[in-house]
Amino acid sequence: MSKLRLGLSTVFMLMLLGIFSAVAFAEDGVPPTSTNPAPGIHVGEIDNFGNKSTHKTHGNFQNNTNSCANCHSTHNGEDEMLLMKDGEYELCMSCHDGTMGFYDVTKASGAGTFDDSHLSSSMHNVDSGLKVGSAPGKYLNNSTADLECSSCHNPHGSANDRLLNETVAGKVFATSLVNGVQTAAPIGTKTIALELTEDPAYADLNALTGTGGLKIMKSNGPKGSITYNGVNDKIYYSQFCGACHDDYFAKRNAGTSSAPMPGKPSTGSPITATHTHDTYTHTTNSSSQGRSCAACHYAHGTDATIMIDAAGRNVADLLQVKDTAGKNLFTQETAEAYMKDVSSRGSSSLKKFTNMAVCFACHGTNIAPGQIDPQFLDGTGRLKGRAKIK
Amino acid sequence: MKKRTVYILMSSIVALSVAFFAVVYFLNLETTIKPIVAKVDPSGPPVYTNSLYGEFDKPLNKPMDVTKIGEFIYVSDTNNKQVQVFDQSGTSVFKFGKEGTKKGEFKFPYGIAGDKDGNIYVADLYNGNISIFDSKGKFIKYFNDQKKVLKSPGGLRIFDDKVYVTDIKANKLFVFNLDGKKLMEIGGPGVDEGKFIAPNAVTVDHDKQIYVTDSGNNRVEVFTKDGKFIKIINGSKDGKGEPTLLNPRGVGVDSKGIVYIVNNLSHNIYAFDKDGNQKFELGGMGTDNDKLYLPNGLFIDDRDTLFVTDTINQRVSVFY
Repeated sequence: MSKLRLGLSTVFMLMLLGIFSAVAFAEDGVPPTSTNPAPGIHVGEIDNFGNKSTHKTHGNFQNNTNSCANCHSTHNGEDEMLLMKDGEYELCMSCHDGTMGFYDVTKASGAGTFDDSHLSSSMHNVDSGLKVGSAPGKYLNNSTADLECSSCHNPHGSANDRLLNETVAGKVFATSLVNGVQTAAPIGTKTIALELTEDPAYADLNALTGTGGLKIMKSNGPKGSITYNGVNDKIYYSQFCGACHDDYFAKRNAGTSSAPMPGKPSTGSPITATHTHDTYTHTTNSSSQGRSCAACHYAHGTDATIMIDAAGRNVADLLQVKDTAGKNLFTQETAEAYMKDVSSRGSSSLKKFTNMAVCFACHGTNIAPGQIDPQFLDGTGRLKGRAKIK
Repeated sequence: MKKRTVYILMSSIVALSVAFFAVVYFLNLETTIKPIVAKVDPSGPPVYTNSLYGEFDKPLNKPMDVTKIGEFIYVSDTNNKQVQVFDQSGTSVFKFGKEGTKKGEFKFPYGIAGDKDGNIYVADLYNGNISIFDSKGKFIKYFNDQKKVLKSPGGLRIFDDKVYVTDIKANKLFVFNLDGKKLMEIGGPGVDEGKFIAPNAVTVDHDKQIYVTDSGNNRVEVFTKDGKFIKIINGSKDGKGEPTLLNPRGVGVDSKGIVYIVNNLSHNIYAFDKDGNQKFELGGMGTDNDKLYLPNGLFIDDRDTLFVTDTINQRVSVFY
């Protein structure tokens, strides 16, 4: 009988164990605290210098940081960076989609737009599986990496404005002459300065002081200032683009038979230089007006609603154009049709001007003197759109 | 009783227990068991029950907000520029809306709510308006914002015939009656108490207190029904310390007064008691059933069921 009692208590114990096991399924995690709100998420309250820490979204990491887990998975990453790679674009877009009110990349800005819903749109198609090595004009760039937001921006902070990377397609893009040799700028050197001004649309936010301290800036492309080692930021900006589109980063006569470089097709020897041009090219490696990438192209993307014509007008401007009787000359539809890019390449190529209007904006008055309606000319006899070229 | 019978009885009980847990383990029934266990303990946190995915070849794309009207669940399927409607089992019943700026069209459908007649109100962040549809998804009219105060409506809820809308760019909460007459506005840009930077969501609890998610300031602010500031919930003690919230989004309060806040960048939902003390958290980054990946919108129904939009996993997860 005593054995039976033992048996029953064992059974009872087993049942209890069963119940507790079932409850255990429902229980996981630890009680959250303010500095450890969830497993793996820690938030520093004190900064490197003993002061109360303030939050900054990108960069400014403290030595006791544990913000890493917001984007990186310590043990379950999908790539060597321990990122949940599939989500990179969505991660960026969880704030830059307009839900933070500012820095909405789907709206027109100094970098253009990522809105693909309008006529003649073209853009750096992040999140589409496009390879960095498939960039138009690529020659030495054989990168097999996917084109992502991080191909150009460093969410961890950068010496450059707008978090622009210091290394692109795997190398330091910014080089300048040191003792006659093109030498990479040391990491941590600001080479790209942008023309940033406080955005008047956010004047109320910009007026805030204290821990808020947020300044919403508007960019108008490279600033055109000397940033490092006597070189203009417009040239560094073009070098940035040229890191992927390497064959397009060139001087006007680079690679022509009149100015052969070693290894050019015209010299008959094997190609060793970065440029395959055996022809002339529009200069892209100068800081003069119209001679850097940013003169003609946006960084993010373009469409018919933001492109301008040689007179510097966009769709919104055209809608204001009236005849002498005060009647509107354009409707939204005709204005967009006017701005439609009909280039034979089938792409508007991230251009700031529609079609080839940028060429005409600069050279129009030379190639067609006296033929341009004076209303489209500025005080110096140049097309009005020319002033908008960086 | 014979010794032998007792042994047989005992071993069969052991065998049955082992078999039970083996079945649970090998057939992945853990998720089915969890809600049952949770029901036994009503004071415990809600547990994951199921997800709404939509059709396999036309899944949700960046679902930003969710609401339940009657027995149907309405989801703003933001990147598809439409609203998807599900029944409770997760079957996609119908959809409405397409990309555009005209009547019945969306550019960024966001906050979604229903009135007592079953009409659906959808805030469009980019178009800057609120569209009203009947329960079948037919466009009726635009919400008549009489003073034209709305610029970029985000969070949207309807309680007691009052429409609560956060305006993300104006950094304000507007309260209207159903006819569009502005009854109250709270906020304005700033970091001080009662101010907002990019308010993304709003809710009202059973005591008529108003909760506004102040995403840019990493906190939720609580107001009286008359719009007087009461307190901040940000994860710190008394809401006075540094926030542990990071890009908070959807907010909801259940019948017991527990405040649930979706914390977008840490991929979970925090639960706070009435005094702002953290009680527990749900989710965590991942693609498993009970995990979340950049969650955003939150709705709590009258049975205290939580619906949360999970933007990267392209689903709405249900916790009960």
